[in-house]
Amino acid sequence: MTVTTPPALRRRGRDLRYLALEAVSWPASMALLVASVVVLPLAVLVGGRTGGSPTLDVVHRLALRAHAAAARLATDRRTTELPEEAAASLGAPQTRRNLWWLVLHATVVFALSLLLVALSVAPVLYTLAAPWWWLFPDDVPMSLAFEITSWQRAGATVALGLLYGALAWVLVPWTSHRIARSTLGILEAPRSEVLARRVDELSVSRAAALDAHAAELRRIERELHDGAQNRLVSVVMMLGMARRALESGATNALPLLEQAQDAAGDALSGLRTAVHDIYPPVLDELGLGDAASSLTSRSTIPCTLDVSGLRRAPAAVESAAYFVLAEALTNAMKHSGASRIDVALRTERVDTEQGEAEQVLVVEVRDDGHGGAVDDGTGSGLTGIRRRAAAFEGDLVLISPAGGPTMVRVELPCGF
Amino acid sequence: MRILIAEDDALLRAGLTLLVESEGFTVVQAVDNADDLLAAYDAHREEGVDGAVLDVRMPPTFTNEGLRAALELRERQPGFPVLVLSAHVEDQYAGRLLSGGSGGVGYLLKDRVGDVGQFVDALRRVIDGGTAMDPEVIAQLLSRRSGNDPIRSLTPREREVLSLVAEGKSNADISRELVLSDTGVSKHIGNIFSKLGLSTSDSGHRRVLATLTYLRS
Repeated sequence: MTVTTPPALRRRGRDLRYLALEAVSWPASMALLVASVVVLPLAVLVGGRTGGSPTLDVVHRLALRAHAAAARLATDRRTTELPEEAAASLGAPQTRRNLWWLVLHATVVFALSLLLVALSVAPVLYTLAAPWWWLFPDDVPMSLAFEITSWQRAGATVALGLLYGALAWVLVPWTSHRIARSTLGILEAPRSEVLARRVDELSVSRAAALDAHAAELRRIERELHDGAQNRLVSVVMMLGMARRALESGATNALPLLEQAQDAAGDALSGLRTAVHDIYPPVLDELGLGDAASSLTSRSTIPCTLDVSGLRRAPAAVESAAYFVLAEALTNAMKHSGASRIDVALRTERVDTEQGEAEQVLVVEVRDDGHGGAVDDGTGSGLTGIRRRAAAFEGDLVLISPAGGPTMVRVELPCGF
Repeated sequence: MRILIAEDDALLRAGLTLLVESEGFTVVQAVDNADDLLAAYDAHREEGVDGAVLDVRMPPTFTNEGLRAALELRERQPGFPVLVLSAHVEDQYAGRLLSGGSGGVGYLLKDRVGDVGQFVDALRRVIDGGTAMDPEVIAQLLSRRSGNDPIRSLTPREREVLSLVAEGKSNADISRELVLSDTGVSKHIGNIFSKLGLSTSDSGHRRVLATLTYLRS
């Protein structure tokens, strides 16, 4: 037979555990507080504003632990992740928040936690121990809240224990949540700071989007100029020469006409490619999965495709994913020397920094080639991929040790 | 006449070479970038080079290498005839080519090679120290000057004549193209010049340059 703990009791058990842990970590925060008071002024004197970074690192790690514990408790509150690494500078906002929290944790938080832990332990001790007062010798009586020398006093102790218990029942959840919320409130950047950072990120990604757009227009212009336009100039030139030859009664116009026809054919196929590259019609009609399959089937290296976890995304994102895949496949075919390529496209849910769930479209291309690919920003295919990803606030992960294998993974947020 | 060709598109380069050779020119060397063109010019300067035909857009940056090479050639040899070809024309570029103030300059859309006769005439004119401006350039200049301007007082016919003069055409060319008598053309030109306040004593290439300078001012 299983005994189920009532939820109210279980909740209080969790709250009490939180308080106990905060109390237990007091020696660490007190020691750090002392260390900070002693070391930081000296470190700053010697090493400037970044001098105290080892101490600040430890403070930050402690703060991270406290933040995580508080976030687990205060589930009703929206939390923001702290930066993983401590800011090296003493003047950084996060450093100031960490130190402020340290002061409170070493003093008020510790005192409150200890008090409430005691308030919760006392009832158990009192009610269990008091009935056995008569076991103690007369000259050394049992002493809990006061000396117990009679059944009346024992009863009073149990009553006091029950009173403490009632107090703890009410105060433990209230206090633990107040402490957790304050911890989060102190350690987390204020909303305005988070928003300011977000605005910065958006400005950067917007600039990247505009750059990518301009680069795309230039690429299309180049492709049209070098392809169709030049071919058509050749066509009119050949036709002009043929006409001149015919007008002057020469009979050698046929080769010129043939050349003109060839050039016109080239112009047409160049146009077809350029038009296709602007927005592949297949994306619109069939969606990314089938469009990707037409790409992989054109690969000169055996290529598998997994689109089982793929859902539809906004057209712009699908188009970016399509070109990322095309670019990555071209790279693999040109440079990897691989004998096999595995492509996976899927939609994943990830948590953003703001604690919201977001869909990302993941493009993953692995090959078993000789590796050693680097994104050195020299206008290689990888640079193009990174730029496309950046335009959507996406990421490129490249794992390509010398000797292989190579994995290119691009994540494109779908914006919802 | 001995010329150099610089064009990065292989098919066009071959085509251009074939075209001018079949019209009696000698292609000293045909190259695919501006640096090689300057090197070829230096290499063949002694034996004599009469002019160069170049594409504006060439490697490595595919912007205006050809234009800069043309200006560089004219720096090395003032008045060296250059015929610059481009997929689209820009009156600013024309201005830079003309800024030296001397003739021997051509600036044409690539499309013009389709009319072999006209194209070869233009090339000959440039090599003779004349001017060959693309009608498109002249149209751009005219539309820019279409505000409150003496040009508005020109009759449509006079504007046609003015355009052809600015393109670098001779009176004979103009009379043939517009089906006018030589004296008719001369009369139109006299009217145009007096309306625009240009000196009628200028003739030949100087007349073309004066017209272009007026249109660009």
